[in-house]
Amino acid sequence: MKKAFVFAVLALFLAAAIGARAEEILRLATTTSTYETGLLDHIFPPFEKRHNLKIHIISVGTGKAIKIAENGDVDIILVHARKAEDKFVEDGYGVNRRDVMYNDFVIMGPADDPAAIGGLQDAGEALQRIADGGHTFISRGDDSGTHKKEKFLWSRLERVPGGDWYLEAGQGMSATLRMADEKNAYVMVDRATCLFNKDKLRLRLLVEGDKDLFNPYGIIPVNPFKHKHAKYETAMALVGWMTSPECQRMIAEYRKMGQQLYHPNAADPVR
Amino acid sequence: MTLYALRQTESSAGDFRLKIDDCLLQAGRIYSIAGPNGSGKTTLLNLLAFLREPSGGRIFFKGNIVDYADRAGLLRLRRRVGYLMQNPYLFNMSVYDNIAYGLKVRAVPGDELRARVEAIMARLSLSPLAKRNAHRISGGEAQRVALARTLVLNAAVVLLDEPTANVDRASVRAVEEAVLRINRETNTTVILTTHSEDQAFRMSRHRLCIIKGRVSGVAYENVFEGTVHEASGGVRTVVVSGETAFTIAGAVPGRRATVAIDPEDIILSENRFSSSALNVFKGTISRIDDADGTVRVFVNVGEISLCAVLTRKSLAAMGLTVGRNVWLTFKASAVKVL
Amino acid sequence: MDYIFNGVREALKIILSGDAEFVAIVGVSLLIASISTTLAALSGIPCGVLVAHKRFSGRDAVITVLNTFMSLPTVVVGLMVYSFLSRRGPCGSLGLLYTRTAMVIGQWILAFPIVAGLTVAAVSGLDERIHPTALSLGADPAQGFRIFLHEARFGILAALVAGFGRVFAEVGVSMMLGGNIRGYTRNITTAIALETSKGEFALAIALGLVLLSVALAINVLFGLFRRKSL
Repeated sequence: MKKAFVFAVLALFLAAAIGARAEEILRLATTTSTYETGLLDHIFPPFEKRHNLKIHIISVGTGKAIKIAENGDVDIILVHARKAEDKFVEDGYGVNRRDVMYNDFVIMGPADDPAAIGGLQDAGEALQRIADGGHTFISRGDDSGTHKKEKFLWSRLERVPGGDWYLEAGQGMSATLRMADEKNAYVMVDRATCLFNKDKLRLRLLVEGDKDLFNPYGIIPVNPFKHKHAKYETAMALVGWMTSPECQRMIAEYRKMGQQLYHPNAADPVR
Repeated sequence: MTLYALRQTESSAGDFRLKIDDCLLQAGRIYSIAGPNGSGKTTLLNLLAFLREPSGGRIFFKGNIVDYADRAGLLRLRRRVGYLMQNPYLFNMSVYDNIAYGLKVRAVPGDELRARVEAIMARLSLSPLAKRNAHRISGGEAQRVALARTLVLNAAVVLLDEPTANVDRASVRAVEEAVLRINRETNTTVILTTHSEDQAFRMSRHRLCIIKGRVSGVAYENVFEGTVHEASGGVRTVVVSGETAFTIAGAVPGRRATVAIDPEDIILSENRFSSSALNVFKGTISRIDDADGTVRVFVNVGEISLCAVLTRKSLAAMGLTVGRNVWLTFKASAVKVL
Repeated sequence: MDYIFNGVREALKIILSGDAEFVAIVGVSLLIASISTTLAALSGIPCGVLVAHKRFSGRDAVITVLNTFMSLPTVVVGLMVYSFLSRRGPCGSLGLLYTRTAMVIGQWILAFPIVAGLTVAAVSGLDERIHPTALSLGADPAQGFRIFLHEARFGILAALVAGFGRVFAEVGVSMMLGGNIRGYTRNITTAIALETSKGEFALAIALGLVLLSVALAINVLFGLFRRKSL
């Protein structure tokens, strides 16, 4: 009996130890595509050090990131789905949205390009040709920012994609891209992820430059009046950091494989 | 001093009922309880060990009534009793640890514990087995270990349920000796059950009898169980084993019956003689027990053992010795159906 | 084949180099799994002994429920606990989501039925004379309980090992409740999920090798204890 008692005390101590932390924690939800390029691990540490806190990053799909912010399980979100972000703010869940950076989407596909979309600057036209020809297309299918952008393009064509050729991966950006690579299919992907993985793939970048493929990122603190426990001031400090000239420069200078992945735009007039 | 007093005590388990009207057990004595299987011997011992609460009546220990609602008090009483159960279970640990268990549970200090365990092991020739796992010893050895773990407790009263069952012939003596010794040396009260009339007489002067759940201070002897047969001519017999059947008088309900014959009613003779008695058997004397002036002669008839009494004079006059063939005669009416 | 060999070679490099991030990830797995198994032991073993020993109405139902929960998919458990711990949920004010504590809670729920259920099996298989024998030798209720633990020790150890195995290799609960936060709640399984989705197979394989080794050790131990208990 004594041994069991000692064990119990020990376990409880450990439990308390693993729960308690010396520094403050700020919880941020973001998308997998953002997290997987490693940008955040690059631009957060200076902020963490300066304020002696740790940012806990929970990377999920955009839809889930917004949902858990609505639930109040995180203090701030960084996502790329303008319409959803605006609704998030309008519904009172978030406040003080700021632009942080943008990248764009591109359409990749098999090297032999059976849908003949290579070189197009019109994303809608490209998707039209893919659908008409029934060429395999892998969609994120997870309500992420990427997926929302894709759905927006389809809706503009007044087309609901479906059939054997349209596959919904339900996974993160890299996983979806890899699936497309395996199947030698067409896929819409953000440029950062494309650049990051280009050399590992046999797919080729075929369509870029369409304004509709523009992919802006917004940072939004959770509304402290909606969720009283949300670390509002710290979240605002992070917004301050992300939109500061120093951090914006770091974002611009972030390179992978020699390529710039993101373009800072906090300085642009607020739209 | 009265150790146990059972007043109107009842205990039921399923459809079996044990009923004790009035029973007093004195301290310092050795009691043997006889009775066929299923008669309630184990239930009685469970009551005396305070493992079972009676469904009716009261039990007194050392003059104080036993309060079954008092958990702590009940535990204390249980710890004053050493109980060797029938077909005992040894724990999955060494022989030493098994024997030490009762002492450990009572928080006996290490040195004293070791001394007592080693002493009892020596007495029952178990020392070489000390480190062996108790599940890896023979049946006879296991029974001795179970006895050791009971005796080591130095309890005021020791209850033994068939203590020499499963014990090899050679060790039976050793076990009986050990029990007799602790009663002699420490005045421990011993209450034991046994199948063997012989053993009952070897070990105790005081007998209790349980038949079909009723305890009586009257010690029935020559108790047997058998099947009722109706032979031709209206003669009823109870077959108690093999070819041995007692002729009885009167009707018996049911197919099985328990019978007892008072040893005083059995006539011993060297030769067969004719009489009106219907029960005549030939047997061999297995033992002659001479105590307090009455002589008890145990005779093997077929597979059973019958006991008859004689006076010393008759014994001498007939010159009976162990191994002699004798004839037993008794009337049908002498066979009491219980 | 090259692809696989390269992956394994890179993985071995990571393991042998004692890469800090790698070690941290393994550490989180060990820490969380150990604590939750300990909690499952403290709660599950007494529960198992009780259910095995005492006859009460609904006993069969309890055993059935335990057996059902033993094989629940981990994401289901993750989802159930998530709905409780989220700020929107009843225990939201505790702010436990995405913490190590949440992972421990989820894994405790996974391990408990296994530890309790296998303890019931181990104790039920014991000789029914054990308890009366202990009582007749003067054991009080606590000592009577302990003799069960002693007699069924190998079966109970097997139960603990099985419980640990279940939580060490699961990802559903860890991911949903821990959030895969680097250096904090990222354990072997959630890290593998992340690295494979990023295409970083070397680290994933390295972690997978560790997981396999632990799983192998667990199965060997389990078999050993089971054999000794029979």
